[in-house]
Amino acid sequence: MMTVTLIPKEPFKVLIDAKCITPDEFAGKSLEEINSLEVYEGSLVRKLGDLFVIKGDPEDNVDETRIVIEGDVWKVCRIGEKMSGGSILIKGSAGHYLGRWMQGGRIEVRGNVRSWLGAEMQDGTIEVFGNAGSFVGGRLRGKVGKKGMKKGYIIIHGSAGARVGHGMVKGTIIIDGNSGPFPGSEMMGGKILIRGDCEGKAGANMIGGSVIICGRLPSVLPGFYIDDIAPKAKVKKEKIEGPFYVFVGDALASRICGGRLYIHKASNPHLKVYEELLEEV
Amino acid sequence: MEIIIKGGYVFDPINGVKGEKLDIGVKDGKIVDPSKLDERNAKVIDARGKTVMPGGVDIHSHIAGPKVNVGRLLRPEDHYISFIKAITGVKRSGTGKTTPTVASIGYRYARMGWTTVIEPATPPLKTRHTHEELNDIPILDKACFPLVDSNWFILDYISKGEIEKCAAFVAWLLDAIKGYALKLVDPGVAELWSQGKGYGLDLDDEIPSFGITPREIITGLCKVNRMLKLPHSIHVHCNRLGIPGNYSTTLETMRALEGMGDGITIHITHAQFNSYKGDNWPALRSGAPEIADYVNAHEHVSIDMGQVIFGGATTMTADAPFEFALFHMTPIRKWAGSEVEVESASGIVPFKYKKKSIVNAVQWCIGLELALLIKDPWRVIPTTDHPNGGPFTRYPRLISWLMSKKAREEVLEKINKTARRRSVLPDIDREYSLYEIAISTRAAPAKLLGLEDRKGQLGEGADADIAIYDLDPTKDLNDPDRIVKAFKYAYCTIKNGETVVMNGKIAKTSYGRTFYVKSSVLDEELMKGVVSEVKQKFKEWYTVQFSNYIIDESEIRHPEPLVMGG
Amino acid sequence: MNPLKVVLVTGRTVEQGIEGEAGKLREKYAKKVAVVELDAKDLKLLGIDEGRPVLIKTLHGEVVLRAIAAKGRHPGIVFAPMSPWINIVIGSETDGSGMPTFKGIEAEVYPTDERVLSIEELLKKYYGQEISSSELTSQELAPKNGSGGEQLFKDVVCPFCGCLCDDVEVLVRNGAIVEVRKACAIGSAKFLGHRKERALHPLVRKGGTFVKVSLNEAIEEAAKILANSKYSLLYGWSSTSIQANALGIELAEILGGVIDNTTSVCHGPTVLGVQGVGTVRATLGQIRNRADLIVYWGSNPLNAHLRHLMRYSALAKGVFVPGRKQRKVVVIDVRETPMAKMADLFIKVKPGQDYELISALRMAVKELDIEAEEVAGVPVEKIYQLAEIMRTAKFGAVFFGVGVTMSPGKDETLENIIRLVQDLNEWTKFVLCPMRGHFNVTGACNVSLWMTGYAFGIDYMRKFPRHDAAIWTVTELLSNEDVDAALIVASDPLAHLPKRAAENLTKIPLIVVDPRFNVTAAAARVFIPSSFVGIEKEGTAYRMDGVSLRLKKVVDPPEGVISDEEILSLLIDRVKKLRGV
Repeated sequence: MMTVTLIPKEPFKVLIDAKCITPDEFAGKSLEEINSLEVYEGSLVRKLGDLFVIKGDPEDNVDETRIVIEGDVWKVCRIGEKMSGGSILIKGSAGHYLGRWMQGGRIEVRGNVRSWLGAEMQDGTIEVFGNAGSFVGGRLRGKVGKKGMKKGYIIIHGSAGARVGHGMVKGTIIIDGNSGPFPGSEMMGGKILIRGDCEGKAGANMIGGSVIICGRLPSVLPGFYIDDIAPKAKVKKEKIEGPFYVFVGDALASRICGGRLYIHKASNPHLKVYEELLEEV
Repeated sequence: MEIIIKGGYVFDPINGVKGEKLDIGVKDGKIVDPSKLDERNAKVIDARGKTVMPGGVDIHSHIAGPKVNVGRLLRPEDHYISFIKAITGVKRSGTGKTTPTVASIGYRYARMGWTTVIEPATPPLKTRHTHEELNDIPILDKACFPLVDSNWFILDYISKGEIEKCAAFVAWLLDAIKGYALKLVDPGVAELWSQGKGYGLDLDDEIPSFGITPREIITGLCKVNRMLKLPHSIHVHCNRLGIPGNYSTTLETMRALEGMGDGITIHITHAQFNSYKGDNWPALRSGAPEIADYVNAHEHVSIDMGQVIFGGATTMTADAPFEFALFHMTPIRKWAGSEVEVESASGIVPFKYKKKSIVNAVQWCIGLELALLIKDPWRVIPTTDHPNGGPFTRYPRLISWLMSKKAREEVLEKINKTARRRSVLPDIDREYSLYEIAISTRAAPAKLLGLEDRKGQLGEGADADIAIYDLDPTKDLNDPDRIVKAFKYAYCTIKNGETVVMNGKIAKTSYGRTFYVKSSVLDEELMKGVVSEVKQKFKEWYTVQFSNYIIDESEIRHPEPLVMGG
Repeated sequence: MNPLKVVLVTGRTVEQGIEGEAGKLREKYAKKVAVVELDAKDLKLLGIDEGRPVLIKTLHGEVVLRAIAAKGRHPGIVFAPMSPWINIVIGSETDGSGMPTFKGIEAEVYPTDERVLSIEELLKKYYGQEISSSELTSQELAPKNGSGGEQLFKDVVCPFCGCLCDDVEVLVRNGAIVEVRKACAIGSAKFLGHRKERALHPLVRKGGTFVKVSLNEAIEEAAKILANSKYSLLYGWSSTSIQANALGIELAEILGGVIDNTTSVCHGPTVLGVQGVGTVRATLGQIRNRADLIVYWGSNPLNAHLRHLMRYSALAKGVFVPGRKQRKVVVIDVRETPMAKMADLFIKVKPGQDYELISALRMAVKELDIEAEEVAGVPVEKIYQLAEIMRTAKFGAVFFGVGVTMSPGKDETLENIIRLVQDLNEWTKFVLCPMRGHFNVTGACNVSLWMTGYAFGIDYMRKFPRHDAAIWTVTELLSNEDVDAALIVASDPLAHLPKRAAENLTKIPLIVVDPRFNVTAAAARVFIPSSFVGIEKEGTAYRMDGVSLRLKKVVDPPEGVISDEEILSLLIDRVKKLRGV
């Protein structure tokens, strides 16, 4: 596997649109051709080589293509968009829409990412060592139905912002840290694990899938009903020790209440009052 | 600016030109005798082997106004993947497929060789908004039809039998808000919707607050229309639109206007949606044969198709209760409802027409059945009720279905089989000729709108709105895909004597006229009396001042009044 | 001592409106807005008297304000008018909605001996900006003598708030407005005060200080800044005509930059809610004529839409609903406001939990069980009671304001409230209407929609419109330093944005076009004075319900001052030449 390395020439001053930075775009091209790929530096049409020093040996094969970005690309958006294989390693922070519509391969970010990480992902793996912005694995605004994340695995080692997994159809998202409000909004399937605290309003309008919260959730939305206490929760072969309060809902989205919230009992003593309702049954 | 279009096959039905090779001359925005132009000074366009027609005229397309704009607001997803890039100095940018922005509307019509488009439904109180959007649509000439069927002033006058006063009010209204013709949508339904009712309102049901029926509204407004000598007949979206079995209401509506006078007394818009037989959705059948029989036997009716195109659409009509019902029937759970005091209501629901859906497949057949069974191409206009049945950008495909049985069969093979069995469409052999297409997409709509002296024709003195298609009528007409391509990207479109499209690309951005009607038929004293009555009621009914309701000519980019009578 | 832990809510007040319109660099403005309202009980707990300074501290910063006693009772909640002062403690996280959290923020209050800073001191301390001498930036127009005569303008449209009252009468004598009838206090103040605090000269910063220049030179400087920028932001637009706004959109397209309007810090969440689920609307007359149930949710019309009640809702005379007696008024808010006192039913909701309350209300409307005794601080029985009131109304209307849009929940709360109204339509007539703030923010949304397909937050980097509230809105772009130049027209973002965004605004080349030298102008490189739309220039504006009206010109603008439209046209021409397009 051969690597193409991109080193930012200068700190970026404005947003950059660089949807060409994907293994699919680089595979089969010469270094010269890669240098000539079109990017937008704000309103200016530039060449990739204007903004980055590009070194290495491009591969012919997408799956064998490895891109390494040595430096901060916090302002560079759409990296890894639609990629179907290969890998991207970012040794810094990355911009909006990283891995949007990804179909396969792997993205690793040592720093933080901005909004819409892995939006509407079809498959693949994304690992972020820092924090993520809003709409991790989210479905784009205005869309309804099964247009969200279909498959794939996103792991954020830091914390994430609002609307994790919005409109998710399937797949797995793990947040090691805390999450912002509304994780799993309009979720249809798949699993979201939040090891830390959740700001609130988990599972709004969900009709399927599970949101597992190990830390604190201030309150449970009115559309959810206590269903059970589960000793453990399972995510990708990892067994997480509970016990967890299991709520079903969101009744406002569907009376079938096909979505599940697993809320860690010990972290949420204020939810003890729901146990009475369980006993009543 | 002088242009000579040389050697094209010209189709100009209003002047009886049926594909002869003729030269067309353009000077100062008008069609002129080409022999009077000097070839050395003029721009010469070589149209040999190509089809030359007047610019297309779309009699019904939701392109501007508050409802259209809410449609854009509702559907950001419609804009993400469909866009036009700006080229500074040449063209502005745009987005949207079923809810396009102003630039996309103007450019996409122009690229298809269409040059005049009508916004068919605007609530008077918000028509300033409609005009501001129309102002910003590039290239096209346009007009708008105010909604009148649930207007309190009108319902009040009709209920009292005061048709003359009603006419005076309508004359005032058209001039005040710069409207062109009278639009009725499920007549009377908006008044019922104010109380949450109205779904299924039929011709002879009473509207309690005014004690009149839709029949009385329609016939009353038809009388008004004729009294004012308006250039276009009343434009009617019949009651019970979208409800299985509604074809009987449509027939009754057409019958109600028999004997109201010479010429066309009613235009039934998007008739497909009002031609349903059957008691319920699974039993949906086509009522097109019956409707077509009636239209063939009675010359006072014109229609436009309202063809559905498989794929995405955005339904938007002033038929608020129908849209609310549709909201419950679709899996896409978005609904934008709206009401305008004293005047009207509306609803918007995104939709998708699927080939395998029995209902959608029957709907697809009905539109084409209507156009193929009605014999007179001067009275049936191809439309998709954009964006209700589908975006106007699918007109080329629609034209190919009209012109080619083979093209229809390709689709028939893929649609729901039960729908196919129920339809007479597979048995229809008729194919529109290119001349008939020229009639139904240019000459006929111009005539129905009363604009035939300047639009829809290539005679001397007409506006120089010309479309040149890369289509050889002696060779290319048996390939439907060729037809689609030719109409999709016109070889050249000329608007007001300027070349705006060349080789399917926008060459220039211009801004067209907005037509409206001033009727000076009625007695001045009558007008004064009615306006005074209106001013009184205004304070009580509206939340704007009477003087602020009125739109000044200066607010319209290129206003072009048509003065009727007087 | 231990601080008082509270929830901070910022918002509009009548005085903030009046004084803001009159000019934000005046001492009177500071006096009226650099305050924080505390419940009498809380003042006591702190051990301070009304009028004393307090230090407000949040995760994002701290600022000194003068404490005043609240009129209503709301222990644990403090209210501060929107201002450059309180924005020091507001964060710029928008949860992907573009809207910062201006309400429902956890804060601490400490007594303090520090004093409240003046606007000059605040700008210097937090933004490193010095305000220029007032002779250059604010003059009162000389009185006009002579035989101009007297003219009474009727049916004038008031250019202040989203009510767009169009029955105002303006008496002009010798070319100056001398009397205003029918308009509310704030509208009147705008008309009558238009001659005060006027900036009359284009200014360009040379060697760090503002210098008077010709219009041509100012346009040239501004055009150069924009043409040389890689990615500029064009922001504001809600206090000018749609005609001017349309030119702004054209300029953004030519530049390949971003155009955003104040919707993003006002009803942006509402727009996002509509994108998700739709909406149910009616014009104000339909509501006035028919509504027997009026709900004000997170909105206090007595603070910012003064004639709303009389003209369009609770107190108005409708065709089918003669007056107040025939209407039921419900107010839902985090604290008891004067509006709440007028209501038949007041529901106090916990700050940041409107979403939960709406969900519970929807459950009740749909007759689903709620597994809690209390939601958002409201007993469940009360929720069922309200649901029944709503279901049995003949025609209900929800007017909702920034109390809902600016609180945690943001666009999701809006989606939920729209869904509530859609649910209610199964039972009866129910509509909603956003209480739009600035007089033409609705117009800004409308013209943006028909030209670009989106209502706000529009990017033209790739020469066609793109929209994403999480990326291309003023707070996100500025907080993250994503743009390298800005043109501000008809708005004062330095006074309205959270500190980090405001701070970054001062770091980039800035052009301000406004009738007054506002707070943002203090940080500008180029300032071009413009005429007041609706007083000195005609144009179209859109009311909160989408009805558009023609604003009138009743007096001439000051000598040498031209309109936004003309300034933008000149800029467009110059930028095109500089960019060679």
